[in-house]
Amino acid sequence: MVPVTHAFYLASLLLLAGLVGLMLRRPLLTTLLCLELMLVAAHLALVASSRIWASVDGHALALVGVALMAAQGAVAAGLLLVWRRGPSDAPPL
Amino acid sequence: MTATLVLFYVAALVALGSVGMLLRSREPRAAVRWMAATLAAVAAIELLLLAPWVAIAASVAGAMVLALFGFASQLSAGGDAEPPRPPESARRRRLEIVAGLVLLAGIAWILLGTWGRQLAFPGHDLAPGAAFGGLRQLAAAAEGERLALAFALPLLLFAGVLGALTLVDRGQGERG
Repeated sequence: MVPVTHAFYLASLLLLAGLVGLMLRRPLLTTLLCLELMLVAAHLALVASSRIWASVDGHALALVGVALMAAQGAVAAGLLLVWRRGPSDAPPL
Repeated sequence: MTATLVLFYVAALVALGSVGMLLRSREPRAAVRWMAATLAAVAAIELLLLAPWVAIAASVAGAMVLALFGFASQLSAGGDAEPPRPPESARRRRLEIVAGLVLLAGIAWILLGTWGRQLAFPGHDLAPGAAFGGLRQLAAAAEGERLALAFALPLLLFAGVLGALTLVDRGQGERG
């Protein structure tokens, strides 16, 4: 059996890594990937909470988070493509 | 140490290592590859935590998002290299390092101070014979919490953005 607390440590570390990347890295794509990483850490924490309380409500919320991640990815990819065609002062990819 | 625990540690190491490489990578395509490895490792951990449907959904959504990002980064001609950073003052850099170290020390203090309580809690016992994390249970939970709209809206947004991008791309292709 997996200790749930370890999953929380891992989720915290992933969230911190995403935050560090968001603050320190300049390329737009890496920034967006770090945002996705923070969402992944959030739904890992939801799954771990769900296991703690032996209730699947956390799984349902995690699925909402996954849908949100997909929508955010689509919007981000749209922004990337628009900026690629935009003026030369667009943020670097 | 059980096989499940070993698998968990291996997946956690893979996830953390891939995140480290993602943060270090200078090329967008390499960053997308390392993010894919991270997503796979996190999905494996979700499987070990008895959440198979979340793992499957996260893998599918992650694959779609990474495919979109990979496509966008492939289209960017000459945008691979990281741009040069503007010069920073040494004082500001020292301040940032001190603030980061204080934050890390705070986290280490919390973890070490509460280590005895946090060491290895496996979660409350599951009801015998219950299919924890099964599709029926998930559907009942989503219905109970009235989450159908919360599922539908992001997915509609995803489909809408993809449709808009396709239309814009076709329109520009016909004009150009």
